[in-house]
Amino acid sequence: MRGFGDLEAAIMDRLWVRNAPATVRELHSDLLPDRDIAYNTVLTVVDNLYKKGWLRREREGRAHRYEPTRSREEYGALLMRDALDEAGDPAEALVRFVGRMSADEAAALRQALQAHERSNAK
Amino acid sequence: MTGMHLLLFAIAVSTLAPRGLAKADWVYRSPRLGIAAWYAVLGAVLTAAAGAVLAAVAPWQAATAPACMAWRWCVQAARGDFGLLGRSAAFVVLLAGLGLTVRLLLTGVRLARAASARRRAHVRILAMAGRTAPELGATVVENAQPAAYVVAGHGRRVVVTTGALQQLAGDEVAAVLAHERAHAAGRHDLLLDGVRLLHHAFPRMALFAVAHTQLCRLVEMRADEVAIARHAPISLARALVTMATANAIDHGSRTPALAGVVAATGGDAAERLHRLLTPPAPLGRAQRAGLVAGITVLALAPAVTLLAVQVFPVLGMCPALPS
Repeated sequence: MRGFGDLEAAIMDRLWVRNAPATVRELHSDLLPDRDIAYNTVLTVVDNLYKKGWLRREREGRAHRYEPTRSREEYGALLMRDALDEAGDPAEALVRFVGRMSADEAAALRQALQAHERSNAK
Repeated sequence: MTGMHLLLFAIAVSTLAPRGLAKADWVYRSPRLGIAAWYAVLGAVLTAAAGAVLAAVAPWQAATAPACMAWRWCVQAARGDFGLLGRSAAFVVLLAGLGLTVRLLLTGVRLARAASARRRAHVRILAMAGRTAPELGATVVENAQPAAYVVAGHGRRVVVTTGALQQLAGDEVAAVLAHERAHAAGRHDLLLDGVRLLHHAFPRMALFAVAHTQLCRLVEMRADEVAIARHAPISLARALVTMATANAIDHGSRTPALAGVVAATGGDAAERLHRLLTPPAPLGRAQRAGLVAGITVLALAPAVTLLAVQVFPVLGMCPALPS
């Protein structure tokens, strides 16, 4: 399902912005102003997202209502854990701006910066 | 004889380089030359070691190409021309060389697989949950912790958190993003991947361990250098301190295994801050030229020696074996 990556992201985005479960029909009409897509395409992609665990659904009459399994913040936290975790994988896949250090070391940095700014202000 | 010289050269360089380069003042003043110097050292040691193994296995004879030499040696060894002792000695050396090569390859494959799986998973979530911000040239992730990083590998996405955008001033964000873009443009992930591979394949080699920590340090200093060419150093310094403070680990939760890593980054961050607040004088033109020449000679010396002994006069001329 390579080609649908963009549409998948758009659907997840709509659902997070709505902040409420939606049917495929609602999602389709939500997306229509921006992109010319068929109802069936949306249905397929939503179903894929459900199967991959990105969405959960509840039956409502003859249709399903879908919502994200996790909030955007939860995925954000997941990403940060992965990005800041140095002890985990030996293959560091990311280049961080600054690594993690102890609170004491961070405090020492802050003091050095403050001392510099004070001496410059004089 | 060549083999012995190459071996001595490899040993000398791998003993002297870690001490000399790690503390050198010119490396601090020009991290880019430092990075080049470290890779020259690694390249020289590896070529010399490989050359030494080859030389031990196939006794050099003038006017033959390496492929012919190997073939000749195989034939002669099979016929028992060198006697039992010569045969077993060559066999042991060859086996050791092969073993090391296989180990390097296996580690490479394992690391590359692990890294690319992790990158793919990360990018996948990023594509869904991140917001692209074309005005920043970065992907924004919803998280209160201020952080920024580059996802290594193809595409090299720059990522910044909403926490960073909230807690940092506009010029600080710009400086941080410039730093990350410098990592991406300089392919720093590849530079680190190379030395990490060596370090993981041969964890007992002090040279590779030092080279790994040093390259991590130098790559950050280099990205800082690029960033402050267009942004105020103080902006980057403030961002560094804000992020370091926000992501600091409490002593209570600090595991012993993590302590070493954390101490290293703490020390590197202090050095980076110092470098931003009181930038060192750039290298003079003569000094720079001298260093470039030195680094080039170091990188090429073993390969050139090997070539000079080996490939001359003509490639591919295999003299007939005396029967």
